[in-house]
Parts: sequence; C-alpha cells; structure tokens
Amino acid sequence: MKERIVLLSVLILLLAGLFILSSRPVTAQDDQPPTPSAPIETMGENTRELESISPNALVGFIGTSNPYCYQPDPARDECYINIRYMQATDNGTTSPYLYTLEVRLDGKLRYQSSVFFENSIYYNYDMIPDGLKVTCGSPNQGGAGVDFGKVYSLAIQAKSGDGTNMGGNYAGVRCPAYVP
Amino acid sequence: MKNVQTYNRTLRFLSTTIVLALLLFINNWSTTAATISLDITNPVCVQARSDTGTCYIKAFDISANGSGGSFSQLSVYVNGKLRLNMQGFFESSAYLNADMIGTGLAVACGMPNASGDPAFGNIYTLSVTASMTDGANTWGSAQVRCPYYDGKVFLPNVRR
Repeated sequence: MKERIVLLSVLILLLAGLFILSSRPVTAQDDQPPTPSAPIETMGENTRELESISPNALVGFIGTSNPYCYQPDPARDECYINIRYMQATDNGTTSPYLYTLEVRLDGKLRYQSSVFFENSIYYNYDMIPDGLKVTCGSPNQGGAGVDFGKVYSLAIQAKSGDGTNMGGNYAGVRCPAYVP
Repeated sequence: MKNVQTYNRTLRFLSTTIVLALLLFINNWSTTAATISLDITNPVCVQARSDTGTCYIKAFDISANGSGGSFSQLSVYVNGKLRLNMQGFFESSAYLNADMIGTGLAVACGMPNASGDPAFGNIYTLSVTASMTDGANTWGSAQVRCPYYDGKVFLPNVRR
C-alpha cells in the first residue's frame, strides 16, 4: 500500500510541476528575437535571417517595425511604402564589419545607408518623408483579396564592406487597390 | 477493516486530485489564444488650402497592441475603401502617427451642407481593423466631418 501511495504522490508532483510550468507568465523576453541561437525564422510571409552568429556578424536580427503601404489619393494609382523604423547593429570587434543597410522593393534597390566610423545603422520613417512610391495595382492583383492591389517583396539587408550579406529581413507588403 | 477504509479514502482523494490537476493543465494549455486592443486618437479632417476642394483625413495616432509576438496587420479604411495597410514583422503591435502618411488621406471636402450640416462639407467614416496571425481581431470606427468647399477660387492679383 505504501508503495502505491508513494507512486501516486510522485505522479501528483509531476502533474503539479507541469501545471506550474504551463502557467508561467509571459514575460517581455518571450517577444525578444531568440538570437543568436536561431539564425533563420519564418512567420507567415515574414522571414528574418542572420548569416552568422555574433560576434562574427550582427548582434541580432535587423530590427524592423511595421512596414506599411498607403494610398494618399484614391483617384491615382500611386501608393507609398515605408517602414516605421529599422536598425542593424554590429558589435564591431570581429570581421566582417557592418557597412551598409539596403532596402529593395521587388529586387530594385531603393534606399541604402552606410556607417561612418560607427557600429550601427538606424532608419526612421521620416527619413523618406512620403515613403517609396510604387503603383497600387488593381484589386486582387497580388492575390491578397479585392481590397488589396499589388504585393511587393520588401528586402532589408545588412552588408559588409565587400558586399557580403550579414543578415536580412524579408516581407511581403500589401498595398491598397487602385479602383478607377 | 479500518485499514481498508483508510486505504480506499486515500485512493479516492488522490484520484480526484490527479483528475483536477489534469483538468487545470488542459484548461490552461488551451487558453493561450492571442488578444488584441486598438486605440484611435483624434481623427481629423483638414482643408489645408481653402481654394481647393481637397481635404485630408488623418489621426493623431492609431495603435494596436497584441498579447503575443504575432501581430498581423492594421488596415485603415475611408468610407469602406482601404487606404492604408500596416503589417507586423515579428512584433506584437502596430503604431501609426499623423506624420507617417504625409499630408494625409485625400478626400473631397464637399459643398456646404453636403452631409446635412451647413457648417460642414462631407462626413466620412474612418474605420480601422487590426488582427493577429491566429485570427484574433478588433476594429474601431469614427465619423469625421470635413470643412466645406464653397467653390471660391482666389485668383492672384497680377498687374499688366
């Protein structure tokens, strides 16, 4: 009988442990990029990658927030793509060193920024006042639904002085449709 | 006899505890769905130049906050037409302020009383939807009254 009670007690302790673990409160750390142990992550149409792990490359994924596309005038097939902010940081101790941050839309280079005796590059939306001009496209042109027009592939890449890719963020940006 | 009763009672108690612990565990496991909230501050309509019939709609800021790192998108509609789409990139929120869309979203100001109020022109519905990747979503809507355009054109005073 004693053995059974001991066995059941152990089982209860195990279950209690599982319960406590599963009810652990979500902390801010859970939202942090799990660098550098996971150099590639994908969520839906978003992908971010690191070519190498710090200190040989960036200290983490390129920080990117809220890419967006808007249509200022519904009578025109003109939309603008922008990003709230982005930032790439190198620890500056081991080659290759961060040299430039590039933004491409559908493969076309639209923006590049370089370091000047520094280890990081920062972009804020107001550095391109209206954003990057693109065509909105007709309803469902990109396959995202009738409210949307084209879907642009956005590539943000950090590169070293010799052009080696150090990390990249890739997303599909959906624009409002132009309805003549 | 007494020993057997005690044994049975202990066994019942332990079985009940195990079942309860299992139920709590399963319940906790299945209630981790994301939640999302939306905030719209001061929607405005401005007629920057009174000699044109173009007005601009924007808001002081619009923000959406989700409970996890899987924010999907925030969409802004004017009278049902999608005008802006903002997406999440491995983040839990979206934030849009007035400066992020230049002069704003162009609309027709409308003539005086166009919407039944002689002090204003057109009235527009500004709607915002926000969602997480798991489908949790929310929305908000506001009526925005625009200044009217009375059709006056100010010609420059040019001498020959």
